[in-house]
Amino acid sequence: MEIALETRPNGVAIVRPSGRLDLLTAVAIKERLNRAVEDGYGRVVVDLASVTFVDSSGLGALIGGLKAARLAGGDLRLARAGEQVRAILDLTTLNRVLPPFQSVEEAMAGF
Amino acid sequence: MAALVVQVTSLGAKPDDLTAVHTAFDRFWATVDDTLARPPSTVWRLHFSTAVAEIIANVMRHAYGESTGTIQLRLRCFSDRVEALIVDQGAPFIGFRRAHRAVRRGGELPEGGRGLAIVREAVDRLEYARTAGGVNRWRLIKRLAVTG
Repeated sequence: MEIALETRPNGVAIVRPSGRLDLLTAVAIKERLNRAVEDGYGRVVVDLASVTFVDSSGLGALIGGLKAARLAGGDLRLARAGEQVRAILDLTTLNRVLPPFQSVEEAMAGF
Repeated sequence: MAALVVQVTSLGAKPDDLTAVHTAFDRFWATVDDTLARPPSTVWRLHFSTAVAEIIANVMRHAYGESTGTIQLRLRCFSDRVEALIVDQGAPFIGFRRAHRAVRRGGELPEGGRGLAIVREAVDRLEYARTAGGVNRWRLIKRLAVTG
């Protein structure tokens, strides 16, 4: 899958995957998130604007990234989650741990 | 009671074959829209299709693993419910009852074990059976909302 990365001068990394976050792509996402944290970007925003679908594997990758970020003293936030992603975050009550922000800017504002 | 819509799809057992599941659902919901007087809401559909995709991903991972195979998905819409039947000839699924409890063993924020928990929340009934002929059959049923 395509995963774009943008880093900001304030030390935030914005990770932008495209397509589905599922069994096929979960490992790549998790590796990308881990690498961002290892490279010193403990504050990560995952911009989900181009993500059409997430399943339990995709959620696991996001949780894995969240744990890595927090271990590094940072955090991970979601932005621009689409309908299916929001529905599954609600269903699993993970919206309490990963509340979806409306924009990347709003997600960064809380850091 | 006869099904109003029946749609059967065969797919391979590799993770990128999951695309066929999403395509099948696009077609299925379009037909359901043309058939039902009161089609289900978007969130209702997302719950159902995500649950089906979750089971199929499970089949790919556990039933087939590295080997090849085919998976058959039958979607049926009735006036009061939608049903999915997923059939494969891979390894049996062990621990059906235990699996949905696995999520609690991962500590505060487990990364794995959520799949069947999602399915159970998303649909009304989930059944698994292995036939004497070595076939796995998963059935998911979600009742359509009753409107007065």
